[in-house]
Amino acid sequence: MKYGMVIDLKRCFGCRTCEIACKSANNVPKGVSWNRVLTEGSGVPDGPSGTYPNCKVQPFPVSCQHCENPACVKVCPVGATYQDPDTGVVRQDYDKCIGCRMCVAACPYTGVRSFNWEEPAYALDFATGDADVPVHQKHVVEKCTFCYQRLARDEKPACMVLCPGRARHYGDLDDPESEVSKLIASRPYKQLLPEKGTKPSVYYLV
Amino acid sequence: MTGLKDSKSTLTRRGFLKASGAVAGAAALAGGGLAAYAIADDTAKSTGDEYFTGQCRGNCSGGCKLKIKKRDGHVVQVEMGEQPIPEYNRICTKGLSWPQRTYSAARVQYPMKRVEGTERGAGEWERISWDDAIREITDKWKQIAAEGSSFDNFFCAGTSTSTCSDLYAYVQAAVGASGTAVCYDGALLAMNFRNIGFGQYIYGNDPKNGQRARTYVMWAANSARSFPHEFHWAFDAQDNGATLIAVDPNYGISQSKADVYIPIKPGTDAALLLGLINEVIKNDWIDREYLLSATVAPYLVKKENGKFMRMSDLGVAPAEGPIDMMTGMPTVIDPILVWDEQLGKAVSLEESVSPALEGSYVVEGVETDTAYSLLVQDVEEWPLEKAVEVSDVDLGQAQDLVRRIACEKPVTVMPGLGCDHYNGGHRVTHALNTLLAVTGNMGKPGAGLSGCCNQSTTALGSPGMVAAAAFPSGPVVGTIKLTTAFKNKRIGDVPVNIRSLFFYGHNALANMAGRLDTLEMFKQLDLIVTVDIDFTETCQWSDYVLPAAGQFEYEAVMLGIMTPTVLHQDKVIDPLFDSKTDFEIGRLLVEAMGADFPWASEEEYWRARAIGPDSEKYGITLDTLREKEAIVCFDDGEYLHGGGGVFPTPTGKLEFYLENVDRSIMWEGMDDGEEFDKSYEHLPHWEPPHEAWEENPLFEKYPLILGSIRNRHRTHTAFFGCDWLLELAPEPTLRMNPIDAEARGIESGDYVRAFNDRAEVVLRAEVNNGIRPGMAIYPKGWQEFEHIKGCPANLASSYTSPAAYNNYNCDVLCEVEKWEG
Repeated sequence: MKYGMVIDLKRCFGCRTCEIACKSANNVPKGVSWNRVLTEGSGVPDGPSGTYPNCKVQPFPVSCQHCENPACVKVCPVGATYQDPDTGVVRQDYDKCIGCRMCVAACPYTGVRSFNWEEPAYALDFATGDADVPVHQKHVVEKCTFCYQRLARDEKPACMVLCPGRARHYGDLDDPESEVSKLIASRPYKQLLPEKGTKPSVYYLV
Repeated sequence: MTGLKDSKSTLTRRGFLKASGAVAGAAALAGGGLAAYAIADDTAKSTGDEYFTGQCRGNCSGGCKLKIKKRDGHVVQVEMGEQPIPEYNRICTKGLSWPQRTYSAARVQYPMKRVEGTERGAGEWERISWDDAIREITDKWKQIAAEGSSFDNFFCAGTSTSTCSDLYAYVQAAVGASGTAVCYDGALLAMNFRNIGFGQYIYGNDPKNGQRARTYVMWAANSARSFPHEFHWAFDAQDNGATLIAVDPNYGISQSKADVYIPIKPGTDAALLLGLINEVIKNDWIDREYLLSATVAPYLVKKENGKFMRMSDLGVAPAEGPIDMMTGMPTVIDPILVWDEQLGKAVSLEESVSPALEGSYVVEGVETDTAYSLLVQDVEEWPLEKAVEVSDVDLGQAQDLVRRIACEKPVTVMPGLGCDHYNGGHRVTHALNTLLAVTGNMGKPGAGLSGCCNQSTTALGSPGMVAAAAFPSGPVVGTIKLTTAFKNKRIGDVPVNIRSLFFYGHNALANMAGRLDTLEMFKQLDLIVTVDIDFTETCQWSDYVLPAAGQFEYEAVMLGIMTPTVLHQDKVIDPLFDSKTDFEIGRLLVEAMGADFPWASEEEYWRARAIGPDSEKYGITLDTLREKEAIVCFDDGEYLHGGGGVFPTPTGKLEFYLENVDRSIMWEGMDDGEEFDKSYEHLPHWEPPHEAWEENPLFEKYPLILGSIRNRHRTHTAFFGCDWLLELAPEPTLRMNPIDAEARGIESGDYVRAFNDRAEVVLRAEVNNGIRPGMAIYPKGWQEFEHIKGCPANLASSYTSPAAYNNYNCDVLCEVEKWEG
């Protein structure tokens, strides 16, 4: 089993529902986003590229790519970052993490990992989301977990519950009959930085 | 680095997790793997997570059903709730943020009273008890009533209390207060009411029906931002081979998904549409059959007064028909005449065999034209070449657009509010409906307007409105007319004396155009009371602020807004802080005024609300709703507005020609007696914006049109207190095209000042390639106190077109320059 994501860039209209679904379900601290929705070719959300009226806006959700050949796992000195053999999900053990941030440096997908320089802060004084989300810690790296706690309960990752554009899909890339496998087989796609050799498990339909 | 001490305890990080037995830690120590999370399942149960159902009352057009998670007494998560028909599943960043909104620091926590002797808006407050608040407010209302009339007290509702609007209708009536008409979005909504009537989705088809379109047009609709849950139907249409077209001055995310983007000069859409209608007629692309059967096209119009000629004009006495639900009076049956080409005379449409589409006919000495002939004459002065010149649209694009609308059918149009906010906006709606009439694009699968908001008047009951009918009703003043009516002490011939305002579900100050005029009125009012969940800028300017309970804090039933359902809202937690439910607030006010409150308990009210004329048909009661969470309340999943060629209009037809051009009190409030040529309203025309037009001499000084765009993470100002949303959009901004920015030495990130003769506002500049040169666009929804200085609403005037009372918020000119601080 190899979990992967397929994101349909034709349908993604940058509403950031997936970004907040993740924050909410995983009680992600202030200032941290595990699943950012960027805008290709622009520094501002929804910023069009081109010259009026010939423009283009392409929102681009980016989270941990859960690589098949993860650079982060290779460099972690204590095995805090590891690839789950059963699912292929790249996981983070906050408890083992010593905060060296080698994984952040090694990962070519800048920004998918974040480091808690300070004590994680929240707007509310109780945790939101799933009860079994690992508690966030200071001086530890964190990132998208593929909502591991939900997968274990046969539930959808938070970002996959409902994309208003119906642009997000996940499933077993090893199963040719899965929705994700069929989408990759039937539509053109691109991946992020394939030349780096990390073999990301996220496919972007174009 | 192991054994690193956690500054908060003597345990090491590992040790802390082990000792606390936190599941995640235990699982991690166990070495990972899904098997380890078997524990997680039990733990989730053992923490006592409870699930509840409800609806997001975000005041947007979503109507998302919610799955609400409660743990340890708190609402800890809100997610999408599964719809009875899964295709309608929906949720957005705002709905997901309800935990933060529920416990937000922005909430009004207790009844607040402006400190005696301090200025309104100065921010000096004292806490008072509910008893004192209710008594002081109602004593003042009684005093005002005694000095003049109870109608001198005005209730002013917005739209965000739609769930409780039926209840407040009773409160207003029992208190004896006057009311206001919203006047928001009237150019789109009120005008559609006139042309095509209101149906199950106000003016349109079930938006899902858009999947069937061959051509899908977003007209001044930034659908991806403002109708995100209806946008995927357009994607489905594209998947089925449809062409998605966007007509808009600005380019953004919605336009980027379109196959064709047509830039247009703001405020000229009606001109373009008239040109398109001209082109349809010129090319003989009209749908003759549709025009004759489903529209007023063949009806004879009397030259002398613009009214339809009827059998009664031939001496045939009208008959009485069934009782009209709206008026309580029998309908009058007085058939309208058409000219029958075969019979060679005027007969009723029902009797005709071959009604004439065009022509002028003299019937018993009375000169008439068919409504269609009048339309043809009307658009004669709009050859497409002229229309594109006025609207600055490429001729080729316009030709392609009209060809598709006429020949690549069915056509779904999603109308937006972009045009609504300029003078003449109502004529855009008129022209659009006319274009769809001549091309036969309404009331058919895939054809028509994409509708808005489940308006079922039969799936639920209206116990509040029914009980309210027992009381006399007072004047109704449109919001845009409030300051005028206040100053003149009348609305038309009706004397009014606005002495107090009671706001509920309405952040009036942030939404009504001409904010400075409103504040001037505020300063002179005897009493301002606001009921709200959050402390808005309208609260800031009030004398009393009453905390309303949040949407998870009481049981309720409601319509599914953009879904064909009725939903149940569980009571998840008790009203927070010292808030009270709207029911309770209403009861206290009504009883303090000495009037009866018909419902002994909240449950009794909601039980009555759940019983409407069609409730039995759909099995809707409070009990079944409690059990099922949501119940489908329309026969067919995909309502067609004007289906079968029958429209909910006085004639039953698509009225592109309006016989009756009187104002709709429901939408616009009472007529203020302006002199204007009402005959101009029979057919579509174009008129330029009032201020935002280059021929305005003011344009030399203020060459930029100040318009707005929907804020993705707010509905107007709602959700302003949510941290997650502030992370996505942290501060008010102003978007400008690189040409305009560069000319002013402005770069992204600079603070700039937008100003005109009325006011100024400081915003953070964002240079944006999609903004039409000559426009400056701000994401709407930031309140005055969230700005460094000023607010955009102050730059707008309280002007209204006499032909359509409405808030014309974007009909504004300004200049922008760097702000030096």
